[in-house]
Amino acid sequence: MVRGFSSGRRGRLKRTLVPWLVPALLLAFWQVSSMLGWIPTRILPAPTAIALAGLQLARSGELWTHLSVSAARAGGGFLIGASLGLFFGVLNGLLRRAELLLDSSFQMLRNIPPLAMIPLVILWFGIGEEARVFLVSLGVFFPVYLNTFNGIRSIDPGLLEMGRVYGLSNWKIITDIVLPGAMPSILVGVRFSLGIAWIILIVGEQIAANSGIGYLAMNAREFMQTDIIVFSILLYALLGKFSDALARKLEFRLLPWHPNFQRLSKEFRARPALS
Amino acid sequence: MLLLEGVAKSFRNGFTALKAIDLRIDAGERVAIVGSSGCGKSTLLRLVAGLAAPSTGRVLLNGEPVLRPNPAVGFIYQEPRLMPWLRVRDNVGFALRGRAAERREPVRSALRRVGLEEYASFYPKQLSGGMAQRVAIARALAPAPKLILLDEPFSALDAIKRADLQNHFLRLWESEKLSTLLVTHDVEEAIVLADRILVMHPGPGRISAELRVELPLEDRRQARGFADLKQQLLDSLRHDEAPTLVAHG
Ligand SMILES: Nc1ncnc2c1ncn2[C@@H]1O[C@H](COP(=O)(O)OP(=O)(O)OP(=O)(O)O)[C@@H](O)[C@H]1O
Ligand SMILES: [Mg+2]
Repeated sequence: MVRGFSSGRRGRLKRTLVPWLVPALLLAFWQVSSMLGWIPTRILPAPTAIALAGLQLARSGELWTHLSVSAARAGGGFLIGASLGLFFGVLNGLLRRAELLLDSSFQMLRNIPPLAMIPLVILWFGIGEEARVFLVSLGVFFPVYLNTFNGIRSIDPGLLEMGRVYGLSNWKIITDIVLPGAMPSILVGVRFSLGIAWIILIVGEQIAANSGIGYLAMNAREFMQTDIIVFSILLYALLGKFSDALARKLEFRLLPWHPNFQRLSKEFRARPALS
Repeated sequence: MLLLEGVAKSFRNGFTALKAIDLRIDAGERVAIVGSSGCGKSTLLRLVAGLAAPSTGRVLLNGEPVLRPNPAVGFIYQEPRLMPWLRVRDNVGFALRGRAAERREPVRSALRRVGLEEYASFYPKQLSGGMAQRVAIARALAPAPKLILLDEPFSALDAIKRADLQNHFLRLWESEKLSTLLVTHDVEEAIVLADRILVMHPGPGRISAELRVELPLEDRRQARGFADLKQQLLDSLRHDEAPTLVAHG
């Protein structure tokens, strides 16, 4: 067996530290270049300056206001879009008639990028909260819908017959076989759509908003506060990473049986990914 | 116990899979059906299980017509068909009604009978093929059925595991006095596991021969009449092939 890292405490320490090596070096290089004046502050401020800007925003409370506004928009839009996606995914996955009626319409709508709807959405809702929540829901709906639908359709028919052999009611078959069977696929959709939710929100907030992180960045642009702009961009990166981690946690919790998410034994964990 | 009278099955596409099947299985009797691929063996089992209705004729279980799946009938397939998201104990308990506390004991006892007590908290993915199939057998046994249907239950396993499981099942059957209806391609398996063997032929599926197995239960493969019986079975399986070919030509 080929081992990439030794197991044990030292190996673990290495595995946590090594991925940070390149970012840390880049950061150091960036800091030094800024201090030597190789990069003008107006183009890209030094990391310390950005951190300072963030600190000030946090102190004044502005950061938390914008952050919570953005999070509420992403969360609300996600909840609405994901619930609808789940509902129609289950409906069309279970009933051929519903699929016949609805699926081709969904497939047509799916081809419209949600961001292309922005002008229309502004006309419909103005630049209020509804506009952004609508856009996010729209972007979230399709990945959840498609993955739920496919998850249900790819359930082993043998398992469904098993349920019938043991006299399960239709409702029991849905809750005890169809949904757990489709869960891995549904969660793939959820994870994917969380990423989409943030992307749509960034654009939505930059174009039409008077609060939120996107607004923070656009507002800073008017005053040429590059440090705040870069800080907001980093914030989005962090938030995206955070929601992805959340989705992964959900997968670990809900799919302990799935080979991809089994808590790996020490022996297994020590093995490099490619062996 | 089980009675089929003049049973025929045609599908919606007009294909007739079974025609004029008469079959009787008494309590505690073990019957095997052998026949070539596509002759309607699985269809027959599905009718007995209440998963499909016969087009004509009657399927009676203890004198009652079979209209829907019945808890007194267990079904074991070629694949284990375990729910990957349920632990072994919950897969076995899947067939049971009642509260969790009431299910615990029958589950434990069924797992004991297939020798998998220690694996109760495993997930199916963590089991070998043979172990998974034993879990499927435990699941079928847990509701204390009177009749067990087996559709090529051991054919996905390698030769050694297959022989092990056949022996295991034989002992189980002896201790539980279950009626079994076994479908198989494997002529030897039919002789080892059954008292009576029915030979089926396709076009449309019908029972064309019946053989009694009068060998001692233990070590049938080594018994004296085994080879003869096997030859007899293979002959009657081949028997119908020529006329079928002519009819098609
Ligand atoms: N729902 C269905 N609609 C139409 N034809 C069917 C249907 N189910 C089975 N058949 C046909 O009926 C015939 C018998 O099928 P069945 O599955 O009972 O065969 P089998 O004897 O179990 O075969 P095997 O040994 O391959 O499992 C086959 O020709 C099959 O194509
Ligand atoms: Mg079959």
